[in-house]
Amino acid sequence: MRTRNNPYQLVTLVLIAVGILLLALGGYLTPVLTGALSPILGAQGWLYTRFQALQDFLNAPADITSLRQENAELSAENANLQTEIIALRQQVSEIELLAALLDFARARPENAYQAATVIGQDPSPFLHYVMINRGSDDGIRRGMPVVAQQGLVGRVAQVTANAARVELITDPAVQVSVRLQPSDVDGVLVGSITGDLIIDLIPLDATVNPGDLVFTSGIGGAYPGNILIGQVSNVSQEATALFQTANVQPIVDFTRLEILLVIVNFEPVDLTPLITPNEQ
Amino acid sequence: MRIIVGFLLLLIAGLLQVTLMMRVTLLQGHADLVLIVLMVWLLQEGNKPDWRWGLAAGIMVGWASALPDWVLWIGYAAAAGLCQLLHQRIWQVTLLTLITAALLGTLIIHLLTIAYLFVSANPIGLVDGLNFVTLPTMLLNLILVLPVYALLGELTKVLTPTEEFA
Repeated sequence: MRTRNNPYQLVTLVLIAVGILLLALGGYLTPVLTGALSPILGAQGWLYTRFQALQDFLNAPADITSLRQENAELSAENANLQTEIIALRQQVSEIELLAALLDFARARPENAYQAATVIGQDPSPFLHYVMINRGSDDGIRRGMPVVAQQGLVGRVAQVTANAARVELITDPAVQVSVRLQPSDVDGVLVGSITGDLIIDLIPLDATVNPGDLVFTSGIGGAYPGNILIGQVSNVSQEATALFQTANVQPIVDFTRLEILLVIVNFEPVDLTPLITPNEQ
Repeated sequence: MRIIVGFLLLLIAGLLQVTLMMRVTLLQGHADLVLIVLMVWLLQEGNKPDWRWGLAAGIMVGWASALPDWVLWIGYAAAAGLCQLLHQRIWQVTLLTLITAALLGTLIIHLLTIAYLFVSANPIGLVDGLNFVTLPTMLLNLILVLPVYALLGELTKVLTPTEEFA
């Protein structure tokens, strides 16, 4: 059967096509196209990801061995690098400490020093002593002052051939003659069981302020002079007391002592013969 | 065998005490690992507590301490003697007995130390000593008894395997 072409039909179709084209070019069909394409794009995405997952799954057995091996190698390398970082950090910390100790020694060229490492603490919590790894074989003698990079730590109390015991200035039995700066007042620093440092025997008429620096005075000959101990944190004066007292914030952290310097050319003065039996 | 293991345990505890345990502090108190190991070991089943074990521990700690040796010898020997007494009087040692023994042992050694410091030229306040040192140390020792008890209990089982009857 032969169909007859209708010219009006053709013109109508062309006009419709041109109209749609113009509407599309004018942007009027965008919402319609978006609505129509959205489910298609969603379906396309879903299909693509599933296909990709399937492809990965099918290819995985071939790669997984090499991936695991690579992962193990990287893990081992990472662990090695972490260990190296820790070791390097420790070395940097030690170098900084040694540099600070060297600065301290250079600032006082008149003294000769022997560096020593802290190897233990006194097992009795009532006593504040540390043990160092240098003894009489290294020239260490009883009574020698011991300092850290910040300031005074204590003095050698007992010596063996290869080790020595250092009495810290925080020990309750310790007394150190001190001078406060800038007030230029003398006093006696005593330790305590709590580790607090207190300056006693400060004259009542002396003006002492929080923030004053505390140095060894050298009086008594047990310690050399002008070694920093700490800073006055507060001053107390009781109405009936004969002297003022001051609390001191030590400059040395006594809980983290690692490397110390023993002043080996200092000869402590032994005042025992000058003290009468009644005073002992 | 038990004697050798006991000495080794005390030696290890002594080394840990002067290096590691002194950094574990509560106020001014430190856990006394040597005392705890001594008491827990002596009160383990199969061991015979003897004050001479305490003397050995005292000699070892006295080497590292600035306190006069005899103070520690007497203190640790008394603590071991306490274990001996408990072993004779109590038919079975429980964890509670161990805790009590550890606390009493700590108290004995600390009171002896305070008494020595009091009569020496370096007196410390009894109240300060008890508050800042003894009580925190007792608390730390109390905490330490539990893992040491578990550890030495396992060690004793390994050393003396017993037959189990079905």
